[in-house]
Amino acid sequence: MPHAIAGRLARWIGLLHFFRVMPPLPALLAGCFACIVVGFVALAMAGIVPPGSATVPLLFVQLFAAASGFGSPARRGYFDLLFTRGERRALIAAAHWCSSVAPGLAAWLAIATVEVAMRSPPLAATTGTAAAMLLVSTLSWAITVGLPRFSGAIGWLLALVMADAVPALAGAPAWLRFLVYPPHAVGRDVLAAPFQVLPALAVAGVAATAAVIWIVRMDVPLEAAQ
Amino acid sequence: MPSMLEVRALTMRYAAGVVFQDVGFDLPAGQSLGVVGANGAGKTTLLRGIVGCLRPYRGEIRINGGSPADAVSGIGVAYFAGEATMPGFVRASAWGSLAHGGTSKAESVTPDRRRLRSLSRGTRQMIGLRTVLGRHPLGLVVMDEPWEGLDPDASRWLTTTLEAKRDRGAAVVLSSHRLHDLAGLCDAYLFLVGHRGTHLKAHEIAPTAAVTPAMLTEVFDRLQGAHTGRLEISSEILRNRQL
Repeated sequence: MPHAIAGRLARWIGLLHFFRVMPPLPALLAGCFACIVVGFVALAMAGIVPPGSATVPLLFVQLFAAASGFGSPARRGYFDLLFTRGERRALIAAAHWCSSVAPGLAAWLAIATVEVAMRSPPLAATTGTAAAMLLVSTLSWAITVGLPRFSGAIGWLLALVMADAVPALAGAPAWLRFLVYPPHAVGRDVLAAPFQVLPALAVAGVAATAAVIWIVRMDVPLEAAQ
Repeated sequence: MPSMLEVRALTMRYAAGVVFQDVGFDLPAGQSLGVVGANGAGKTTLLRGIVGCLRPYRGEIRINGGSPADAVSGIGVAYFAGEATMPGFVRASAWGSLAHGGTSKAESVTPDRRRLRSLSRGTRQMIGLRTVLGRHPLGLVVMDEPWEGLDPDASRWLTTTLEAKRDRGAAVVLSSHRLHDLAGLCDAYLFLVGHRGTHLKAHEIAPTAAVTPAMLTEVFDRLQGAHTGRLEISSEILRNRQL
């Protein structure tokens, strides 16, 4: 039994190592996260802004980071080493998601830690922000999985802008407003009213499941061979 | 000898139409197969089907008795489709560390820390080949145009390495336009011409001598309908083997 666990662990480490060698998000975006964390912490230390005010910019950068796209690099043959190593495709998908969203989640945790340490009014370290971060990380990855990089995030931004121009959305259920515009939940305690976010998170969960199934079943021709 | 690779009545197609149909052959362990065909004949498609990246439209592919998806983790598969399938922004040493199953402790096949896109085509090809061929054990080696971009020394290294893998019991499938490299190496040949496959063993092409590039060219030309008459292979054999 310990051998089986060690074997699974080694495979998982191998998968994460692959996506460390070939990160799904560009270095520029990883640098964006670092700039946001360093910049807002410096401004917070100077007393100019509370550290939690970095949360909304973080969410928008995470929207793009998670929209890393799986199908395009797969069709260029970049993942052939994984596919022909016998890795389970569901695990490959999970490792790809983890690698896509990890820098953003790490940046959010860093901001939340600073916020708690400085005893600032909670913005980053709230359940609402956690829900927004989870929604953005999952749904953006799921809707971009078969599309070129960033296309899901661009589509979401367009929906967001258009939704702002639709007066009917103001009267829509809270979960729908949260689904379209996740920053609505930033700084709130959603444990008191979980149904304001749970349906939106369920939508994200269904989309992520559909994305994993798509990866498991997808044919991977080389672009040049079609 | 039991077959490492069995292909039965295989038809592959994309949205644009059928690539090839009803292709079939067996490849025992310790033998090599050369796939010959014009551009767009379906060589890459066949090879990707064999390693489980593409599902057959019709027919069956079995590796070591199982489906490709199940078999690749058990027997060890080396597959390489050319340096274009390596991301240019990755550093060469990091890509080389993905050999041997890709654990972070693995030794890289190259110490070169430059990005892949800054290397020459042949160097990228060599790094890619060494990364996939570094795996142990290997039951099946599938290479798509592996000699592309290699200099004479590297070409010799590749041929010797493929021979060594084959002699140690791996089944080897190679596609190449470089017939002089295939001719010295393969025990059988699959010609993909006109959406059909023709499987010929080396002794059927040259019963008393080694297969030469000229013989392969002759067979290919005759299958395309150009009868040059230089080769002693009978038309009857070709007709019977055309699937």
